[in-house]
Amino acid sequence: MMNSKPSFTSKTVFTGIVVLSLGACAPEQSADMQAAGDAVETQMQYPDWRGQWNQHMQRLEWPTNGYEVDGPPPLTAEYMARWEETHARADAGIPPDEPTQRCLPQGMPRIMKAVYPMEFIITPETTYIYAEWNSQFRRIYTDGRDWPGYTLPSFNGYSIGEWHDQDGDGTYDMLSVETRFLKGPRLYDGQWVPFHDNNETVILEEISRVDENTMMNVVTSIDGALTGPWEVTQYYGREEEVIWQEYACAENNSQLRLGDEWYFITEDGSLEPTREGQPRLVPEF
Amino acid sequence: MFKRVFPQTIILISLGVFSMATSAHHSRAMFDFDSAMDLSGTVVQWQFTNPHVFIILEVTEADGSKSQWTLEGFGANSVYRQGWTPESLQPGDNIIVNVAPLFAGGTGGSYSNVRWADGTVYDPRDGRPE
Repeated sequence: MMNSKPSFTSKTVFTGIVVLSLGACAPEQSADMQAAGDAVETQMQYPDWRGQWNQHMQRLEWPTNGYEVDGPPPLTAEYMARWEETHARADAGIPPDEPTQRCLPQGMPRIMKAVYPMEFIITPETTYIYAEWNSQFRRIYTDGRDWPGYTLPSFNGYSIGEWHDQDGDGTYDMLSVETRFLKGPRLYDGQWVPFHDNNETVILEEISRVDENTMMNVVTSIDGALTGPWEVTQYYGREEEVIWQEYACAENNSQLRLGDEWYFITEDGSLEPTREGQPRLVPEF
Repeated sequence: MFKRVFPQTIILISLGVFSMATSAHHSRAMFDFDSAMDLSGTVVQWQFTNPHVFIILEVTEADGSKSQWTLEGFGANSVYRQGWTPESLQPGDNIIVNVAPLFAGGTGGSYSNVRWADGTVYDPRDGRPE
């Protein structure tokens, strides 16, 4: 069960480090060091976002939100046609090429749908977001760095964040994030809305806590497949019963893509066709 | 286009017990939910795995022949949070499930609504009967 009154925070840790450092100084230096320590502590008011956070659709009583209801997406004519073709093929029993079906990471911004729970781990230099889906981490640098000249693209991209104290109470309450250097294939979610083939997507986020049990993420996607920035608000609810589990997608994936065709692997090792006209493939051992 | 998407959302909400993890791994587009049917049989295996759990079910056809169905459920992490465990089903259990078969036919499908052979709904939080 979550402890709603944390007794141990990142602030405590770093204040402790500062205090320990001061203890090793000469007395005449202590006043200056104390002032420095106070300054450091002023910068170290980080929010308590501990716990397990899920997208709100996990619970009947939570409101729907996100891509399912904030649509339709402002796709260009070309990509709208692609999207409609994907749906038409699916309606005809031809599964789309959904990357997660091949156990690829969901990537940004889909990882932030929190279909499975996620966890925020905050340090002054980096905020990590652990996503149970595919047991992966997102790393958001908050150390003031600039963008690298080049870095290998990745499904979750390269993220730089900045903390904000919107109400001026001395504690950060909003993390803005910009993510670049993304690779494909990715989709926004299970509705198969496409990104541009060039993968030059930029994702902006504003993550904040609405109340004790609710977080909000305003996600703005900037992508060549869109006619303009697409802003979607995603809410997360805090789970009362915290259960963390491992998720290894390749453990028992019954869906296999060969070329442009999907097959369903049955227990005897046969590849069952998924649409009319496909041959049934029976391996010879 | 979006009108088609939104009702799916409503359906998922009304089901309640199904988390959105149901659509997490893939679209389920290969299954024909308009042709869903009840299937009675005997559990051969209960595979408690990701990205999906599976029931391997032996089904006796009308002519007395037997066939083995590979029935896909949701992710283990998701169904575990609903109360299912690796021990929830045992080989030899006689059950009824609702199955959306593969569009192309064959002995594969997506299952839901697990019941005992007498029609009693299997609530995993109640555990197995004595």
